[in-house]
Amino acid sequence: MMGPSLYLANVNVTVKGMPLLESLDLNLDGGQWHGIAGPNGGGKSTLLKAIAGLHNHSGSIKLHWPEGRNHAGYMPQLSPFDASLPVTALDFLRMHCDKRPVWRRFKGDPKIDAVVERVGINKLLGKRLGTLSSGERQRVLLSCALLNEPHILLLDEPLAGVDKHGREQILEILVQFKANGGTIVMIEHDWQILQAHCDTLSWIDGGLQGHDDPTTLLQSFQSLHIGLRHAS
Amino acid sequence: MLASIHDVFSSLVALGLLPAIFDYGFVVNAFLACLMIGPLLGMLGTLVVVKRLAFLSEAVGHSALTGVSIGILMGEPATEPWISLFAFSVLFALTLQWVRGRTTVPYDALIGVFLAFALALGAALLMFVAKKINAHLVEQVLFGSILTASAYDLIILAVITTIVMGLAFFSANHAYLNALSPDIARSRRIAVTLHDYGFVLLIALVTVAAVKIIGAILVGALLLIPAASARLMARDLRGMVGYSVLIATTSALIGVLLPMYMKWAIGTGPAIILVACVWFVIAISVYSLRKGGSTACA
Repeated sequence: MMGPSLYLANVNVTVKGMPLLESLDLNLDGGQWHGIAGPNGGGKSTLLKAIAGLHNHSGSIKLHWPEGRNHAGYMPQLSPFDASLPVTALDFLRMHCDKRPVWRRFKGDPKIDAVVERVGINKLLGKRLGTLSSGERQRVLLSCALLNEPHILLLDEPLAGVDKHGREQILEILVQFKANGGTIVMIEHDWQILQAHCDTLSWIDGGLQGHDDPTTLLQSFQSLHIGLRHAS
Repeated sequence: MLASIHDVFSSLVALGLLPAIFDYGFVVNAFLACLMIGPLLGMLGTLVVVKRLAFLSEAVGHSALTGVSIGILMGEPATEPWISLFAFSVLFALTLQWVRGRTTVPYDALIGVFLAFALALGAALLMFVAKKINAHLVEQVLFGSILTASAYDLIILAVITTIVMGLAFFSANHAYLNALSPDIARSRRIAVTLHDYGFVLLIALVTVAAVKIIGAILVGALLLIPAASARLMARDLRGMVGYSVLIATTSALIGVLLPMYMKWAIGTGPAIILVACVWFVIAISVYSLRKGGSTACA
């Protein structure tokens, strides 16, 4: 597998009349792990959604697929889920498969079985989505993103609310995904994780304010006396 | 074909296997209609509940009242004003969806405005309609009637049931995913806008198909109450769909047949909804018992 490269040229995104990203140029190589960081409200999620095709934009966003067009796995930001709704983690996973309708008896699906094993969510399958802890729900969402064997993962804070063990587990899966040639674009606040895992880091605040390897970018920001948040 | 079905029922009555009420053709028609309305509304109702759009079905139901009134005023038969009924309800639902995408008004408020408009227009037109037709027919439109399901109505119901069941087999997963997480659905290249329009269109079609049995005022309730009850009892989505279909179908059947059998002078619509409400009380009891049990265990 070889993940796609991304080419963004003069990208502008306006949502409900508010310009959130302006004149953004960015190239991200395939098969690498790219971090996105920046202040809250700076447009990180907007950028990720524009890449995923969820926001209209001007300018150009091109994905170059070395092995022909494939799926992109998108994992949205963690949001609350109605605990009283009888939708289990297995129901949610099944909705991502195109074959058997979710209201019919589950007869097993090799794709679901494989991803459940890989992410280790076997014990969560019968639980309602709304009753899962943040970390558990993040793992279910990651499983959904991985379900159709994507070549690129677009992850919006996949480690938010996840405990230490869960973090290690998710990071291990992502390391493996990259080792297999996949491209990862991940929004993350934790500088330790960005420095330890990402090949590049893009600082987004209304546009692209910096793009380099994480350590170099951190040093340049520190020299500019910009206060950055250490999550751990 | 319908005549041969009537014959089968008559012979079952003659053999003592069915009560005498099935000797009447209109009872058999209503029975067949309920066998289609139940699964139809029960299944679509789960999507209404997951999408939190209970008021949408109410609004579309009330628009049927206006559709009937317009049809009668334009010269359609008072018992079968299908063209105006379908046209107005579909137009109403599609306009609602179209306006939704072009304003910042919250969806529930928008539905409230449309609901009030449909009810006000329908009520205003009914004044004119009442001069043209028997007032009893107006009551049938409002609250449904066992007498009104004709062969033509059954064909329309069968066509809509086939369409909905086909969609339930091939598009249910995408529809539920879109209802729960539109962002993920869109990222998977699911036509989210098409699904949203398709959903309101189906609500309109199903409402119109069921309006003659249940009536314009209460048709939305049979989309809502079975699914809301099922939500309380089910442990997963499959259970919710199953319970919802079961509750909607039994409510429709009991609501139609019991008053007829007992010779109670109750409209079919109110009877069906009252049975559905009994189911809702049972669902709340089951939920409370289960919750109490789990609390005790904890």
